Amino acid sequence: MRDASRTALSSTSGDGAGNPASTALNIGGALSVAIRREFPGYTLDVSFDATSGVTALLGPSGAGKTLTLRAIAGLLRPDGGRITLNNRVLFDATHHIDVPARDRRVGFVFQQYALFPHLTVAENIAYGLHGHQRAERAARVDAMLSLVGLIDLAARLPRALSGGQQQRVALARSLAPGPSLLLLDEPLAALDAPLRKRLGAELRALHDRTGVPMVLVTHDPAEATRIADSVVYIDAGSVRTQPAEDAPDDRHPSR
Amino acid sequence: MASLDLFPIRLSLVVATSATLLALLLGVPVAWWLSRKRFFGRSLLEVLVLLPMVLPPTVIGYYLLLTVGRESLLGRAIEALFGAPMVFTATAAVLATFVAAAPFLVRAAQGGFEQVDPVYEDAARTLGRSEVSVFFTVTVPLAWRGILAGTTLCFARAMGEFGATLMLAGNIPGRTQTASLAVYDAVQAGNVERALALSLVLTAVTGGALLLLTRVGNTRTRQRHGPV
Repeated sequence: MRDASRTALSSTSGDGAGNPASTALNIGGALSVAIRREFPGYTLDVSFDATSGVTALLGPSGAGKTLTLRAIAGLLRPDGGRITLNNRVLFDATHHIDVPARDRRVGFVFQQYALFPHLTVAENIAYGLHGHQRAERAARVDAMLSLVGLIDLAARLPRALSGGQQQRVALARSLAPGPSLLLLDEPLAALDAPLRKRLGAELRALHDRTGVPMVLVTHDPAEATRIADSVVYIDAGSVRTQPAEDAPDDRHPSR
Repeated sequence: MASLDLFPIRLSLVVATSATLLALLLGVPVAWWLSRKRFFGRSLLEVLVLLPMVLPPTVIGYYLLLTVGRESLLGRAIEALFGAPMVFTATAAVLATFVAAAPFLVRAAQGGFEQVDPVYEDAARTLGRSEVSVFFTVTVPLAWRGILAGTTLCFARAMGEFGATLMLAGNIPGRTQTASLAVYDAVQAGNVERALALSLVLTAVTGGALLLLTRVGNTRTRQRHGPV
């Protein structure tokens, strides 16, 4: 069951990202997640491996996709399990390892972007570069601004930007510190349909240019297949090998 | 008009400022704690923090006397340590004023913190910042209106403190007699000019503080920092 799901993931991935899908089967390659967390009346029990390409977590709202992202980022502590990223242990319940969010080098693009409203676009992007020298920081901010095509808006406050511009700033901010992995929570949900298609393509292009592996959450199957190399189905807190509707008893074995 | 003895005004300003600084130092972390954490005994702590707002100031002063008075354990320890009792000193006035006024700061600052969507703090964490750094670069800048409103209210309340100060610090002219106590004395002594002059100064200082408060309140309705 478990191996079947991995093969299913791998089979759809590999083209375009430049990294062979077979890395998903290597122990410790890219991202490996196996976590459990009890909530009142609900259990999150998710395990999957992701390649260095773009992985989509697909499922209905309330399925546990966002909770999974938060656990990978270190914003939610699982009760049990293990998370590794490029052979680095981020979380391991049995060994009491829980790397704090600030040390994980995992970028996060929040659903509503969460741009700091009191800081300009440039200050938002520079926020994660506090360890850098002043000149180096400025150069990095400029590089990020041109990466997302917003060099003219550097001095604006977030509230003066459109939704699409805010999303680009959020991407630039999360990529600026050079994360090993980028997590995106419904990155396109707040945008209207035509913009959603264009920014989806931009997101894909951004991945191909930076090479940063991405895990994105979506409830739109078309969007998932359009942007991602591989898709992980999550429903009712668990990974499924098939889309939820035609898999009545197809739960992934726990951990 | 006879030359006004300015000591009570000066003492009131010093006591109110000290009590407000103390309230900032201790009250802001408590306010943040109450706004972000769910823990056992949280309601009890919240009630304890807010109780001085509604208790008669004389009761606050009496409790403080029981706590740090010359007969109390703590009071005796203080006396042994510093060679003099704390009661009936300007320090006692600061303590009494702090207890009476700090709840106003905690209340408003807590409201300010609750307006800040925790997602901004999470974003800061994923960008590599420590908890202290997150607090000072994100949480406080986004909650500053609540904190400033609380500081202002606390200072205004501190300037007008009477009952708790009287109980713990007494009403000793030239030592612990604050402006509000001096007004009482002046009226008792039939010194109308002095009572009126002190009252006008107190009104101007606290009125000025409240003017600042309304201006902060007005900007809040124009632009708010909160969940998108």
